[in-house]
Amino acid sequence: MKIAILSGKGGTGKTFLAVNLAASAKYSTIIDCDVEEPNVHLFLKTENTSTKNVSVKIPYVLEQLCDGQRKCVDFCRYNALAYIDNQLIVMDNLCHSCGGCLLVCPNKALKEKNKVIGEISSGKIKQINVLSGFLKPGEATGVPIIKELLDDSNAFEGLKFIDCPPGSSCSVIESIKSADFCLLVTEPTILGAFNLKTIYELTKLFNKPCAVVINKSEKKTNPAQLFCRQNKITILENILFDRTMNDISSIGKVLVWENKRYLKLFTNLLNNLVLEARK
Amino acid sequence: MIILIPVDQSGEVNDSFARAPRFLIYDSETQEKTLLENKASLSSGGAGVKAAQHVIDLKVDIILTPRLGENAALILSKADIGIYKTVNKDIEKNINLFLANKLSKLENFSSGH
Repeated sequence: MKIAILSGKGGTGKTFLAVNLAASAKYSTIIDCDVEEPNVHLFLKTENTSTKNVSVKIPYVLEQLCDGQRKCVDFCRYNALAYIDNQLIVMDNLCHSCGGCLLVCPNKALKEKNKVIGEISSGKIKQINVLSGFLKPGEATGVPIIKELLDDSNAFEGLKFIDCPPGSSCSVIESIKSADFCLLVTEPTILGAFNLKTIYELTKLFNKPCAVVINKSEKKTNPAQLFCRQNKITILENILFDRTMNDISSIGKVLVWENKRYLKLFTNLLNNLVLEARK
Repeated sequence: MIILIPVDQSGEVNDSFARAPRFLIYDSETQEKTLLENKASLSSGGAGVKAAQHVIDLKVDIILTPRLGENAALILSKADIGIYKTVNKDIEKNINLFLANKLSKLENFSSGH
């Protein structure tokens, strides 16, 4: 079962939850789809780690076949092509590898070449399989890496936790596409509630069942709680703000491996999450 | 000489090139001024490339702008267009300063937005 962990707002605790849930399970896989700023590997330092490059296709022109009709320039919605002084210029950094320009060229003057945009690492620590994606800075999109990560994760059985990028962009959409359930992480603030609304709407759009965890919470009623009540969304846990959790996590340690009380909290949450997801 | 300046909604020099709402084209020989919509400003990405392509197709010789992104700079460099840095928001003043050889070339390009 694939559980995507997402939040509209960055810094609410996606990785914190994903890592500790994975570490509380008897056997699990964690997939770091935040390829622009991955940090699962900072907590889960794997052994026997293998890495591989991820490439995409970028067009290049056979100059002798190009006669400047510019059908490709007009077609490209990313403005990755320009025709100046009888020469076609390809802007590698803007190309999204849709392959459309090759199709629209009447002279078949465009061909494709590989460009490495990042890498995927795979390893294991204790009972957790860790798959992490890394996008090279300056590349147009991390979606191809996320696609490959999720394909690779199909090799493993059991519970899979997807650590999504923040927000609700193409990268997040790609990360949740194959998820069975979405865990929405938020904060007990107006901003937290506002961003929760955005990702809740995203999960509805993709027909994904979901539940909420309010992190860094407080005992009194808060905007995030109100939003959940108004929309009848299950709150699986209100993790109260606890400075010790922050102190332990901020030095890259896995909370549930440091303290039995936290292991109990997360095992409980995991059980409730699985029960909810199976409904 | 055909001179181009990016123009904002209030008729002053725009802060950036590729995402300016309009372009002003000034022909120094006929002293004719033309105002054009900048379609590149609506792009989700690569506005610099689209704006530069458009400007080159218009056969512009000189661009006066406060700044220029690296994508636009790359495309414009292939067409031998002079790029000069504006000193304030007044369109007339900048044109006159350029014609009097008092504007400097724009040397630094930003990573764009």
